[in-house]
Amino acid sequence: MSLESPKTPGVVSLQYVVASVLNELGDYTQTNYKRVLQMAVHGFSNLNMHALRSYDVVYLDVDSTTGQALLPPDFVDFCKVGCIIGGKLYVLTINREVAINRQIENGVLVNEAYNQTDEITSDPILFLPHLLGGSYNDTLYGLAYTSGYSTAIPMFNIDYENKIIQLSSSISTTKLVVEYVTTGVSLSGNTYIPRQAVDALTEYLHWRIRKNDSKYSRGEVMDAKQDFVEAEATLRTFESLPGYQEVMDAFYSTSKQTIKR
Amino acid sequence: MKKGQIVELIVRAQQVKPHPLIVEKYLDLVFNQTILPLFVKDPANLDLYSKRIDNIAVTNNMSILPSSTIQFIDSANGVRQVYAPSKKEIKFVPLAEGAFAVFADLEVGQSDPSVGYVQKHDRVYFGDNMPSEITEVTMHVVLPPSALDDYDEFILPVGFDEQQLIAGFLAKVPPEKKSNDNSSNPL
Repeated sequence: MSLESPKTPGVVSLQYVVASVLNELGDYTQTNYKRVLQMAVHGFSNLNMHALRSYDVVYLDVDSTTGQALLPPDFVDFCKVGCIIGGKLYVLTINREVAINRQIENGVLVNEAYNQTDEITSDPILFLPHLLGGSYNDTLYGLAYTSGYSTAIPMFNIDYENKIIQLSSSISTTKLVVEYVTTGVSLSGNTYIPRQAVDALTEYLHWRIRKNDSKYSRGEVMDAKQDFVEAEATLRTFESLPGYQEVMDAFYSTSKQTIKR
Repeated sequence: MKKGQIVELIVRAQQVKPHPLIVEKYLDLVFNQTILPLFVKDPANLDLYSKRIDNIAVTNNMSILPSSTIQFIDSANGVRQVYAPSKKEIKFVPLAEGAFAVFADLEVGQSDPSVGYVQKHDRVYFGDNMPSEITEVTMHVVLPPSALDDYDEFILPVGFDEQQLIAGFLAKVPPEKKSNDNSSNPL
């Protein structure tokens, strides 16, 4: 494709999908615009969790007093958490037993004393490519650790309700690197969604509109739901299938040039 | 046809001449009756019957219309479209008044820049996210015939025998009293 004669864009806005659905319904009055847009926000968040799995990377400041960092609002769940010590990134382990720091009325902190003595190995764990301070960072990897390492590497726990990540001990860093599953919906600007998700989101909206409108029969609602289920399955297949280059990479990694006969 | 012409035609068609203002009021009733089925069939199909009004001032998130509008059975009512010529990228959407409180608790209330509006009689109230730099808006409103000027184009929906509807109303109206004789007899 050339820039001179562009085709339809690879990503579209949520507003585009809403306008497309209202167009299909022949509703040009705008009376349902915000209602359907809210449904779209909900539907796209769901698709992100179940079919698209949108990921993001964020750098968080750690409060050294409480051993906590505030997670971003679009955080759904973590993929990897790392901390920077001595210029190296170490990957931390989840431990659901780590007590979440709560500050009580007299200011005394409840903190679990825990020192990890495992040693770091050289096996890298790659984080997703992301932008850092305007520069593209595609080779950030963290070090895993094994037993015998003397530096205190904390474990972490997550308070999902309060969007807090809690470390089990103090660390000599103020930065955490968190790779996480995002809702994919931006509250501060336009939300852009990939073209392959448009059909599933459109069918989701048709289903939800019919579900909440008494003039549609139960059969019509179920028809719309089935259309959505099929569109979501198509999207999930699209997302999980390896691309051409990935297949060729796998193929070439196991084949070699030999004498033909 | 101009509204004045329609009124004149109706007045002339009656044996006992009614006052033109009486005819206009009955024209309002007939218009209400005939436009509703059209709206139910397609709510967006009101362009032909709406009048564009420019430079409506916005003060304290509120505008005053030149008159009340026709009532429809959706939240847009008679104000079918609103836009700000100075900021055309802002979308205006009709809302029920209770929807503002609901949307305030949802993502759409925090992230969507479109401005909701509510019509109450001859006033239009805008949502709190109305940009302060918008001081004037343009509206497309469906006005009752009596609120139109005599030289405004006026169209009655097709498919109805409006003459008969109006004549039916007018048959119940006593003629205009022209004698000044203190008699209770209207003739």
